[in-house]
Amino acid sequence: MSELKRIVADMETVFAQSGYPADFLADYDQMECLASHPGRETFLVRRKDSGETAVASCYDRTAFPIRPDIRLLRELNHPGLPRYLEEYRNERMICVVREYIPGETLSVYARERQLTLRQIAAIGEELCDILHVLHTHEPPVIHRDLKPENVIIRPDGSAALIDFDISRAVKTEAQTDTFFFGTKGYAPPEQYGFGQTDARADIYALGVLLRWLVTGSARENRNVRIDGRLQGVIDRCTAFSPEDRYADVLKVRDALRAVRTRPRRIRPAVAAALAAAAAALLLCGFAVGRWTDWLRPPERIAFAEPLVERAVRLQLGKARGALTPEELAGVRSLYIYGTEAFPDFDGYSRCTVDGSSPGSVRTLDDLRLLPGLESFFMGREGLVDVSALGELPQLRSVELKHMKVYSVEDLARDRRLEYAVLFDIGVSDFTPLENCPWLTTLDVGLNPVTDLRQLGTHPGVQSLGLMWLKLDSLEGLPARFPAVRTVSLQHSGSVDLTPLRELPRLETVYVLAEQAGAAEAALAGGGVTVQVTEN
Amino acid sequence: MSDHHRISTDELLALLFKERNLEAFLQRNESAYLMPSFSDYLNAWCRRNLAYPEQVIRRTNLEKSYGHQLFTGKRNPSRDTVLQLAFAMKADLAQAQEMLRIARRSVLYPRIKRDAVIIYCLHNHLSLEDTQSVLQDLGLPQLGGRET
Repeated sequence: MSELKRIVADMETVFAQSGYPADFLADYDQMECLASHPGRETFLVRRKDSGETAVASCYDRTAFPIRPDIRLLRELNHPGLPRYLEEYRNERMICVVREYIPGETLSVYARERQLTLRQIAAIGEELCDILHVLHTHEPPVIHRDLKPENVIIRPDGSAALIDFDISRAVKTEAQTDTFFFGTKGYAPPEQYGFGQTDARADIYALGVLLRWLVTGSARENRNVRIDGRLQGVIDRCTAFSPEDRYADVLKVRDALRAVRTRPRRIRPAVAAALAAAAAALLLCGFAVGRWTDWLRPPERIAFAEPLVERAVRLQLGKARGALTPEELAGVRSLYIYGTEAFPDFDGYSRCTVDGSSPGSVRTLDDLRLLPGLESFFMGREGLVDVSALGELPQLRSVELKHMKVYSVEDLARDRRLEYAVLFDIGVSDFTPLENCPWLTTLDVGLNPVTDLRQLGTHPGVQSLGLMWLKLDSLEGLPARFPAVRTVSLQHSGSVDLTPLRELPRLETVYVLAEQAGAAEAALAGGGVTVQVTEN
Repeated sequence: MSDHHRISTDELLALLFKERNLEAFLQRNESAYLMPSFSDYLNAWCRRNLAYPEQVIRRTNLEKSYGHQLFTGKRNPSRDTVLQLAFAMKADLAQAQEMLRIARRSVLYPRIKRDAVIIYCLHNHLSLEDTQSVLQDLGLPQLGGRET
């Protein structure tokens, strides 16, 4: 038997006992697993006869304590909820198939856009309308896992609520919830067993979701300034005691509508002062404007740094001619190395210190002209003022290499930063980057760092670069970078690698050939790959 | 196909099905949306492996301009496209899962038959063509068919 035939035969044997209802597998191809928890799985499926995509939730009857209430799912008929299609059962499993709602999860949708206060309030209002359908059902249904990942924003902008795995009808006689479901951070205190959850549990989660939309964090952070009226709504939604929260979602909806539609109230005295100031300015304007070219067209946009301008023009494919603010707003990435600008990462990434001359860029102030900038890559410059990097609302990826920056404080003002390669930039304190909760890649190679405390604590970082550092010890690294999956340690001397064994998710350690023996000995038996690189 | 040591299908899957292993394998990542962009990943991979995007695109059988748009970040790849790229880049299983996470697509799940085939083929460095052949023989949708 050929090897491929053997694989086919093996797969048939292994999956003959998969446990899913045979008629479900006959009707549908399982395409992806969207969620997996002990005893319940959610799949993207495709109907074999029609090719139609749907979502199937499969429950292992022996392991999952709550069975889906099919009658309930059939009754819940609303455009904001996925439609029930059909179900399959065998002695071990139940698979419920529902409508697939195309779009993006709210977590992705919000991350990729700078949502305004009005848009956030509008999403909140729409969720209130959907929750109202659940809460006024007889008996009332509590979603209990409202979070950005369970909200879909369709291509037309409308919202839908998915994942009813843990929804439940309220039993009035029950005093407390028997099982904990929900998501840490979004679940209210009573969902941890302090009492039975009712509609106000969803109101709590809605408040946390609104806070996340505004601040990027589910946790309260008074350092982030929120519109006072929206802050009031969030505070009342997330009150510890259910009695202190809004009584029902329609009241939340009304409060959000007020935030969205009513202009901010201005006290009469302030309003009078503003009116007087506006009148005075108007008079001055007329007086000056009569004698000057006050109403001339706006000035041509000028760059302080010619190389930054060249990089911008490369992005726009416009070598000369005036640039408009609209064009500049469309620039997403810039690549500069030494005295050259590049149109893409490909050209930039081929540059080396030895193969280039140092550039003369001194300030990144020009980047303030580029509000849509998402990625900024720069290497081999001198002393550069990077304060503008902290003022770019869309910036996610920054690479600064072989230059003098000395402080990352300005950069750390950009809380949404995800990718930071900060190699050889003369920085000894990276703790300000603790302000960036979404940081997943951090490279601090060849900087004056000898102690891990200089790096701070970064729970989200998965890829960590520590090349050319003279670290005294890696003790404490697992506590500071608990999610790390890859670590680069080339040229890091003979530092003991055994503390890396405590990293639960560590997959790969990059070292030089001369470090490989010690690395393999230190990490033996831990399932970690030691990868040798040339430099 | 290469001749290096292979573990059998049922050995591999039995290993993955153990609950703790499955959990570690899937590495449920609550903050999957916090990744660098997929195009940055592709370009960095080319840089590390001294490869040109054209070489990778050619090996995936993707339409050329679509392939380039993936490298420039103008398009986001579907899950099947990520997996086709993984085969073209000779990724192992862990790298393929990493690519799926970065592209914000569902990771491979060994309890799905189609994913189990792909897991096995990636783990044993089978070619994309051989993998498609196994999928076809099992009556499963091939990679790069209709997008979901």
